[in-house]
Amino acid sequence: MPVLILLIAVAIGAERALEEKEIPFFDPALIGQWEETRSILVSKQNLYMYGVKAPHAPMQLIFSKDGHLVVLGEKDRRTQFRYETMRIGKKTCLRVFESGSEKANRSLYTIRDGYLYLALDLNSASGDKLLRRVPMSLSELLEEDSELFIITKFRPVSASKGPSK
Amino acid sequence: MTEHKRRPIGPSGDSVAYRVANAPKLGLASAPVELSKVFLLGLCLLLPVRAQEANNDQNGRDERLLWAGKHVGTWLEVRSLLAIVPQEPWAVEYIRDYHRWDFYPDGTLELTTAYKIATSMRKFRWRTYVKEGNSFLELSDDKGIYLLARYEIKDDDQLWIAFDPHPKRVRTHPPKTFDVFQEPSIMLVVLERKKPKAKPQ
Repeated sequence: MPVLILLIAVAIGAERALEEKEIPFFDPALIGQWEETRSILVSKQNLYMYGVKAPHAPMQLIFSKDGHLVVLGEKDRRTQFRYETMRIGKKTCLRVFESGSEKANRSLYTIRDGYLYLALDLNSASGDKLLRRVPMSLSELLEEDSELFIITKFRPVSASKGPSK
Repeated sequence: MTEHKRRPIGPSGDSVAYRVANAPKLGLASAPVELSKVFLLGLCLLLPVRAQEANNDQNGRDERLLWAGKHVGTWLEVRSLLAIVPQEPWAVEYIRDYHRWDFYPDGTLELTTAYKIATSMRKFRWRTYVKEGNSFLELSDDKGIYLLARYEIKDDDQLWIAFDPHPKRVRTHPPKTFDVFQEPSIMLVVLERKKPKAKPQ
């Protein structure tokens, strides 16, 4: 009996280790240009930390096959990054590296019904707190205990980019 | 017109039978006049009611005030959600943390908000009403309506207040739902009733 319990414990531990393991993969569904359509901020009395003007030009993300990400911001300002996609368990994760640095911001992403959802915790630069299922229901959003958490919804810009479900 | 015998009617004066017997008799000729009086009286009584109803219709409200006792007390912010669309402007002064709402039974409210490190308290008048099955909360000050929000009380100790932060809608058009994924722009403030401190045993 103790052996059986030990085996079960080892199996559960192994499964958890696999769930936590980051497995890089190439996600063709992400390639192309995306435009911001909506942002949802969830805050615990830290709303002021979100310093974006309104109205503002929608942010655009251009993911290329060679691992580069261009962010088009206000007044056509372009900023280039490197990115990686990886699986952590059943989640898909995006790592964006600052230029010339190994420092990366990690956020969870999902492509659903043709829309790209990115979830970002502004209060912590790394860690599992960033990884969430998106899109979330309202009740899930309300249970969110982050100090400031943002879900951004993007639509594909080019018509050639078919919705991937 | 029939001429009536006029006699003073004192406290100890005429009997009921006398008064009935000498009551003015309405002839056919006087009927239209009396009916006109009744009609005018009725009109005078009804006009203010109709005017109020017309006013309510213009505002689109049925003015059914809710039981204020549900709100009265102190509510503290536990979470706020802000959904924004890039092209939509928002009224900057409404994007802040709504820390504390003190609703008083006399219809006044002390609202404590915070932006960065600055905290401020403002006084408003508040009222609630129902329109098409939805509950609305209106805050006003000397300048008029400051905020029109939809609200819902959940489990008696949680209060959801949602408003549209768009400058042209914040005072007039509250969101149709609480759905942060569907509404054009919405700010949802989730409050919990402040519970009295437990007495040390």
